[in-house]
Amino acid sequence: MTTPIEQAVIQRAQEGNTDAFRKIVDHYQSFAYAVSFRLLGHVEEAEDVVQEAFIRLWKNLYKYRPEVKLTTWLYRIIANLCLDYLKSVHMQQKKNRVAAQALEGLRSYESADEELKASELNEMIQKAVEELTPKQKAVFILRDLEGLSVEEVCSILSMSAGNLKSNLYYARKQVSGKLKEYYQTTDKITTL
Amino acid sequence: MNCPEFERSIYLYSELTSSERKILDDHRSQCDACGQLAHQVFQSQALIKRVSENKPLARDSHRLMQRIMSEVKREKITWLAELVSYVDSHFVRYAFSAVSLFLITFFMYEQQTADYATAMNQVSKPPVKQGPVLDVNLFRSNHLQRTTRKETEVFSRYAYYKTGRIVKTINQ
Repeated sequence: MTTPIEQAVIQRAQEGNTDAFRKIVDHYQSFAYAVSFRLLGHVEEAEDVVQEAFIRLWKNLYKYRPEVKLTTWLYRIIANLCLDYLKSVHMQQKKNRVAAQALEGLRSYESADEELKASELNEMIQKAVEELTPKQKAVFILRDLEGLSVEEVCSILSMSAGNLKSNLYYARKQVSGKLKEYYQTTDKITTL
Repeated sequence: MNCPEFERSIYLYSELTSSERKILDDHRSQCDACGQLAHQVFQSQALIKRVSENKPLARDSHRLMQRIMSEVKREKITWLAELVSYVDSHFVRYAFSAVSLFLITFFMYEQQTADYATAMNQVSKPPVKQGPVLDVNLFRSNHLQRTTRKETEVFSRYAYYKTGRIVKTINQ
């Protein structure tokens, strides 16, 4: 979860101050990229979505009201852009080469062994996530990987709590099944 | 609670209320199969949590920032340019011309109407019964008489100049 940025900065950006907007981009860029990358599983497309999301935020910033969290707004823009992208035929064609690039984003491990284990796990989950429907994927990533509350996810994806739980159930079941399958076939059952 | 119900609920354990969790916990303590399933689900969730702590990072966040900001600045300029180009377009020019023409015509029409109304008001005014009255006919006849005398005088001087005789033809 990202700490919220000062209201004064947002207000200056609303008045058209690009330096203030730069601060907003700097503050939220990493989280925006993480969500986009997890949803799309592709570096270039994730960067394009982040860029487009911030442009949309800039264009519509005058509509922003402090009652709503800026992160919720940004999540909504990113989720909508990614869902549109995932639903497009273009994305279907690229699906096969997604897994190979899925590891590029992870760089925070210190030892090589640790990095390998984490990369393996990340790749496994990324592969499992790739097989979900766009909605299941969005729900799973926002709730389980981004750690947002049920209310926030419902607000971002404009869906009811019942619908969210239904999608989350199928997503978790599928990911859990894939993890079990993987660890059984590679004799790593000790961890599961 | 039965096993299929347990299976439907265990994946949503973190979304359940404490009383609902209690029911699940009671069931899994009595059923080995459901206990194993719960163990597997919790371990999966622990692994997912580990992955969630390692956020993917952009290849070059500085470059991405530059990309975004250059696009934002271009967007700002584009917005201004669009406004300027819109104001500078043929449509707006013709619209302003049409409005100006309309205003001029309207102004002239208003002026004419005002003059006519003033004239009509003067004509239709009842004669003033008291105070000084300008008799237009008297003024006109005096004026005509004076003009005729002048013309005659001029003619007479011309005749004197030509003939050397004074001809008095002034009408009284």
